[in-house]
Formats: sequence, structure tokens, C-alpha cells
Amino acid sequence: MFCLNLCEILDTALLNNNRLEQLIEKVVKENQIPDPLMRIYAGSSFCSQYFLHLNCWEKLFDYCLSHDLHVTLTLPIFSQKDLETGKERIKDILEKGKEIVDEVTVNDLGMLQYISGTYEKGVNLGRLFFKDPRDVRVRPYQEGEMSPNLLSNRNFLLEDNDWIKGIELDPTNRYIDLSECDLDGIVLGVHTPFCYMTTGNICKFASTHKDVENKFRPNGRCHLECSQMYEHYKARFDGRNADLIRYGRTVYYYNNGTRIAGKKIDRKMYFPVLEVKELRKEGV
Amino acid sequence: MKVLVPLNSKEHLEEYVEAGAEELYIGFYDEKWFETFGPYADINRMSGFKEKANKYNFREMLQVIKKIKALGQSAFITMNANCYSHEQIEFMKEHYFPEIMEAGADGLICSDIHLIREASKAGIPTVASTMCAIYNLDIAKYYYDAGMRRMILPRDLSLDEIDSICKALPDVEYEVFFMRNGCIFADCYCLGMHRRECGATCAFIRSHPKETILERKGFEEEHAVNLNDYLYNEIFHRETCGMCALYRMKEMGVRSLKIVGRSDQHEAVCEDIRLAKKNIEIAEKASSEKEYLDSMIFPANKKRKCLSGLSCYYPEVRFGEKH
Repeated sequence: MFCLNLCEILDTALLNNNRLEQLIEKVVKENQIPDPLMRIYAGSSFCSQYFLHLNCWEKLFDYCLSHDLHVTLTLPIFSQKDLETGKERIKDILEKGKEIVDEVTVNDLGMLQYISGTYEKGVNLGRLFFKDPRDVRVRPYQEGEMSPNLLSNRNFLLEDNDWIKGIELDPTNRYIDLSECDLDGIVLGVHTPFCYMTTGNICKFASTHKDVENKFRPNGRCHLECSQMYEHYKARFDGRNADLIRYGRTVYYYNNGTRIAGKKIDRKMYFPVLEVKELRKEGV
Repeated sequence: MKVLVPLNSKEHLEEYVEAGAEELYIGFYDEKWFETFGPYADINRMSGFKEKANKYNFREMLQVIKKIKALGQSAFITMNANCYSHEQIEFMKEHYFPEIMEAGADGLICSDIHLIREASKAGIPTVASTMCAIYNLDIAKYYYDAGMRRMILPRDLSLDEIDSICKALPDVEYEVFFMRNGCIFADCYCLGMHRRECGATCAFIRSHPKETILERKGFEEEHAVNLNDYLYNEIFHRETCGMCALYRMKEMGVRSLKIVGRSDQHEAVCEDIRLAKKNIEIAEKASSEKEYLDSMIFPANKKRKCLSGLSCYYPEVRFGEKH
């Protein structure tokens, strides 16, 4: 199933319906995706400040309702100061989107307990649950085969929490082997075309216009500077090119060639961060 | 309050203890582990740096643990890789657990919930590593319910946030980051490798040329971006200090002040321990935060370190909460 991951970029992607239409068209055409778009992931995996800033939910829900699309609400980790505000915002979003949002992706153990105890929604384990190393700079590892450690641990999280609907993996290595993992009934989603490598609570971009004494505070307030700039690191490691981008707080590397064995991929979540930027540049 | 330090060489143990360290943590390497699980399977967060960060093999480390205990201090072992496979945990249970118990280690610093469960079942006390990402009370409660009574809080929490967690779960012993290396990402979600052949991810990001793609153009914007980039790469958290936060930490009931830097020069670590001990004394005598802040002793390189709060773990103490 083809899904669009608009986490971290929803505000930019949704500037107008025309842009979203063109974005979908561009992604489908350039990646030769044969399936129709079925679902949009929205919110944030990595940045609580971005999540708290978002105010375009109604626009998203209107679009999805008119195009028969479902929404996965994706939640970042909220630092203590933002936890209660985050929960209020979740309540508000789930109320507004009750016909559209049918599942929630969580990224920490506290939120896993909270969402499953509070709402009757499908719950997915997000990409921050899968903490296997990944590094485009280390070629023998990255080009090798791996099996996510969390899923080998007798699936204790899945056993303890049998309401878990799905899991989201990053394309960490060339081959991911899930043949030993007991994933019966679990929806397997894989992010593409970028693998997240590192993230944090300090946003370099958010500090751009702050006084020096207030720069680089964890979870400091921002003005969504991430939508105005990003960084591209192009490097050669071990005889091959590696592309990394820093978008917001997170550093990703490009890896569009992961093969997964032992389990059928149910969803591919495409992150169109560069396509959004191109459309913006073109004035769409 | 106790001072907690990493021990990378047993030759310096007495010196650390004499300087005032009462709690020490140590990692180890194990050739058999790497033969079994391959070169990329970490035992702890620093395994990729081999013996540079973990000087001793398992048996040698146990001897060091016994020595620490003989000196009357607490000893913790780091087994805090991001995650382990089921087979790796079975290996630990068979090869490490019995002797760790026998050596009398005070705790296993770990983050993998499966390892935490197995260690607890075996009767080994566990410490929630910074890799557990205890960013809020809900997450703290999860580990509390799993039986953990000692937690290392992430280095990117504010003092108010630490205070909220301490107050809500007062019977937990908390460790907080206090001196030396900072981190521009989050320890627990930085999944790029830390290895000899590539270095740490942050070091690469800070030093490698890049293209910055800006939507807003013009000299002012570019200047702001370039200055920000320079401060971030060259100055921010290069050497980090939490000395000004000590009084508040004492008031919160923080148990341990964590000095990091497993591969740092031992003289510099000793200097930090001594300074922390002196300031603990000052904080204990002070009747207010102001009194402490007026009388505390600053680090020797104050002129550079205290500039603009960019080396502060907790800049809010001196520079306020403005964002």
C-alpha cells in the first residue's frame, strides 16, 4: 500500500490543495508507483515543537475526507514540560478527525501506555522504537543483512501489548531479514526513501535568530525555521557516495534499495521532503 | 550528593576516590562476544571504540569491580547498547550474570527492557541508562513499574523538568549529567555508529562540509545562519558543565552528579571531581540559591566555559528561561 509520510512537512505540503495534489502526482510519477494513495501519516516522529505548532489539521481532514484517505496520527516524544499540552492537542486532533484518523503511531513507552489506555484506536510502534544501529558511513554493515533486535526479543512488546496494530521500520541496511520474527497479524510499514540516522531535542535551525544566550535550548520555542532551510551533506565513504540531509532536528540518509525478506511489506511510507521543496521553489 | 565518574584505567582508581568519587562506572570488551555476534554488535555504547573506551575484558573488569568495592565505593557496569537480540541476552545470562552477581556490582546500567527484566529476575540491580530516554513522567513510570529505582535522566532535560520527575517519583535515585562532554543529539536516539573507522555521528556532522539550502535570501539571513552554524559547530557543548545548577539539584534530592568522558585525561576528570565536591559543600551550607551562586567556585577555564551559556548543561540558571 502506498502511503505518504507528511510528518515534519505537513504545513508546507498543505499550503494549498493544489500543492498537495501536485505533490502526490510528482511522487507517483517520479517513483513510478503503481498503487493509488491510501493513507497519509501526519504529525511528527521526531519533533514535539513541530507537532505543537501544527494548526492545519482541519484542512488535512477535509482533503482526506474528499479523497477517501485515512490518516495515521504520528506522535513525537514530549519532554516533561510539553507532555500535558501534547495530550490536550492529541485529544483535540482525534476529536476533529474522528472519521479520518483510525490509528496512532507512538514513539515512546509512556505514550504507548497512554494512547492504548485512553483511545480506541489502532496503535503502531513508530520508528524510534527500533534502535538498531544504522550508518551509511560504515559500508560493510550498511550493505549487509540485519534483523531488528526488538523483534527477536520474543516480541515481548507485542506479547505484552496485544492491541499493537503495526510497526514502522526504517530502511537501515541493504537487507532486512524478518523471517525469524513472529509478526502474524502485525501491519508492517517501511519508510522510504530515507533512513533516519540521528535526532535530538536541540534544533539548530530554530536557534538561527535567537540571542546567543538562548541558542540551542532543548525543545526551545521555534517559528518552524525547519520549513525555511535544510542541509545536505554529500560525502564519499569507502569508495561510494553517501547523501545525508538534516531536516529539522533529524539527520537522514538516502537508502532506497532495501530488500526485506521473510514478511510481506504492507505499507511503504514515502517521505517527499525534497519534492515539497522543489514545488515550493517552483512557486506552487 | 555523590559524584559518579567513569573508570577507564584501574591505575587511576585510588586517585579518583581520593579526589572524591564515590560511585564509578565501567564497561568491558569481550572477544568471544564479537566472535559470536560479529563486529557490529555492541555490548555498550562505546564498544565501537574497542579498548580505547573499554580497556578491560570481562574478567579484568570483574577484578576492578572487586577493587572498587574493597575501597568502599559503588560500582556500576555499562551494558547499555541501544538494543540486544534475544540470543545476545541469553549469552549475557549465561556468560556474564553469574560473575557480575558474585563480584557484587551495585548495578547494571542498561536500557533494553528485555535485558532489564532478565537482570532483575537474576537478582542483579538495574539502572535505567540515559538510553532509556526518560523525557517525561509517563516514561519514568514505565521503568518504575518495571522495578527500576535508579534512573539516569537525559542530558537535554531542563532543571524544572528534572524537578517534576523527582517530585513525582521520590523513591527513585536520580543521576543527572554534570560535567564534560555534551551532545548535540539525543544519546538514546542517535543511532549512527560510534566507531573507530567513522568516529561519532555528531563529529562528522559538525566537521563535514555541507550545502545549506535557504529559502530566504539576503545578507542578513545568510549571516544569521552562518553565525549560528559556527557557534553550533565550534563552541556549543564542546566541554559542558552543570556546576551552577548544583544548588537546585541538591534541593530536588538528586542522588548523583554524573561526570562523563571515559576516554578523557584522568587529571582533568580528577579536577572536575574535586571541584564538584567543593561546590557540594558550598551548596550544603548555603541557605539560598543566590548565596550558592555568589559563593560557588567556577571551573578553571571560566573565561571560555562560562561564555554565553553555550557550555552549560543547564543554561537557565544563569541565563534564564527565555526561548
